[in-house]
Amino acid sequence: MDATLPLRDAISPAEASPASARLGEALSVAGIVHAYSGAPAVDDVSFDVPAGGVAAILGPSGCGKSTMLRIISGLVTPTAGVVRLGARDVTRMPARERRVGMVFQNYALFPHMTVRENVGYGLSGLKGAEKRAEVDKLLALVRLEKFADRLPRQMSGGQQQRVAVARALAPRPTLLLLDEPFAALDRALRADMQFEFLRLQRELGITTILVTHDQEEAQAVADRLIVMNAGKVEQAGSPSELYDRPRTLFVNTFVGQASVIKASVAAESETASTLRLSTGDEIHLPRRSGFMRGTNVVIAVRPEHVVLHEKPAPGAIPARRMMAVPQGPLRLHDLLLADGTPLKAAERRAPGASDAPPGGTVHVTFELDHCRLYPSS
Amino acid sequence: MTRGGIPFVAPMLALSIAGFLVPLVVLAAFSFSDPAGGFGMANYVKLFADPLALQVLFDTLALGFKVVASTTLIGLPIILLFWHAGPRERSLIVFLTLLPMLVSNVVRTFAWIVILGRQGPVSQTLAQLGFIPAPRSLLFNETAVVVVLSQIELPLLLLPVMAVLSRTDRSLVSAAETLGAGPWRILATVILPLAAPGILAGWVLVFASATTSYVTQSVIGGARHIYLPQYIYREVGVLFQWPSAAAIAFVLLATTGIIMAAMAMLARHPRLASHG
Repeated sequence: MDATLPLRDAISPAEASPASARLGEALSVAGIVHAYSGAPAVDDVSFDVPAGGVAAILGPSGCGKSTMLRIISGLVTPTAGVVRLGARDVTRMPARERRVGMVFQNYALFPHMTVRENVGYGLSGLKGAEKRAEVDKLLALVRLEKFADRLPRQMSGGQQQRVAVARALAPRPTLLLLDEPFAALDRALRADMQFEFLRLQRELGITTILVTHDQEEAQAVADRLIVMNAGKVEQAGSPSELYDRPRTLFVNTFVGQASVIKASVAAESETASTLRLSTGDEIHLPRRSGFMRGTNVVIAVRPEHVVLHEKPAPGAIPARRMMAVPQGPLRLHDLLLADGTPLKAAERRAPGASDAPPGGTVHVTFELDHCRLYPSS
Repeated sequence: MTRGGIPFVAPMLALSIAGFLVPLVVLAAFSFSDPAGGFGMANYVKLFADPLALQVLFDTLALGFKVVASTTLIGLPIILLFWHAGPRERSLIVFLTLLPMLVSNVVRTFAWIVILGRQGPVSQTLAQLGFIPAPRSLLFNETAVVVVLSQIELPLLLLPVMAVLSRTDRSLVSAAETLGAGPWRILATVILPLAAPGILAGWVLVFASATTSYVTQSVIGGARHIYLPQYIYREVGVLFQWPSAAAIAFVLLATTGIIMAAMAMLARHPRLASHG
């Protein structure tokens, strides 16, 4: 289902040149609470990012992820909680003293300054030739040596993004923050830029946190995901951990895809359980459900764990095929169960096979080991 | 111009030609004629040979620059307040800026006569506090003209600047902060350069308006302190020297025009034109 190549594995640490390494510092936030007015935008958020790691804060818009980034950068002082960078408590330290690099969503390049002036803005301690040399070094790092005298508006989105990264790196921060860094780029360019960015990150060894609402991007770039929803951390862990063992229904449906079917527990014993689906069909789990008999639950099924049968099979549930779209090696089906519950299924596509017409009836079973149960909300 | 745009601008073009260009050409023709019926530069030669006329020209341009400087000084804190204000406060500031413009310039000028007069609050307060021995009129000097014109022209400076700033991305300031810049450096290197196109546009408006505001100049400045608009009026209304009045009008037009064109060209600088 998830066809994104994990970029972080595609770059070996051997490619990194240790000469320019500036080791990052570990970040730790604990018990962060922040309210703008009334309801808290961020509510008791804690997580750690090890030195040199890449973490992604992932969540829908308005979940508090951007506020977290502003708190870590020092632009916002939290109502409560502690931000620790390395061994220092930086909670009350203003942004300009904190030395945390930040790349803004729209890059926030100074429109009246050339690329050279933009990148040099954070090098106020250096003068003349020294400053020039340092800016040249940074521009070489992001491969923009030839564009030093351009104005930002004379450059493409991808180039502007690299200028923003070079500018953020200029004051030699130990932590780099990126707010939706690839959102403004088109899809083809995005993968290139992500790869380029990871190369740079490996080379510098800088601790990096990026904020995104795109779970594919987060999985491709980060080695640690922090999923946020409604101001709280839902789950934090490695991308595969979150995909395979989501702790909440939100994580299950937000990281990767999942269809949600309402059900109730019809029978429960030590070794097996029976669930009655909202369609009236029953499915038998070869394990305990962990819920009391009669409890309303929801079942989350990933598309790749739905098995399609053309003919009725034992335990199979009938479904109507609404749409079938080929996508690379897979064919994605949009199905509708008898009571109208939508269900997504992905099956391997036989090369050359013609697409089945919509409207037909298929029969589905689930790979029960991979179905996850959550209490009905 | 986009092709096929002529029909859309035709009405405006006709109005401009009939109402502006034709009278201007007539006026130009007037300025080159002399009372004897001849044709030549005589009016301009006379004007530039007259020390009084040159003094009035110089005073008029100086008045323009003084009003520009004073509105900028008064306007800057308001501009900074606007920059830092939230959306609701911003609309309040725009409303308060527009409010005086709802009252005619003439009425505002006469209000200032009361304020700066001998029995006015300013003079009374200064006398009570002992800064001046007895209440006296504060009118009829250049300072009074600059003060009154600054109040009247201030919105012309503020409105373009506010328009530019409300389109400016605030994350630029956040970016400067994370790069280690303090508040003064952010003001000098980010906020003011970004506001520059608006400030230049405001300067052009204030300068044009201040140098040609006949009513305020004559009512507040009085008869002893005259500027080019009154000088033209005197030539026409008192001395009936239409050709020489036309010549003075053209000199006023040319000098203010050159200064305004210079400001406008500055605003087209690629670094400034990139935004605003």
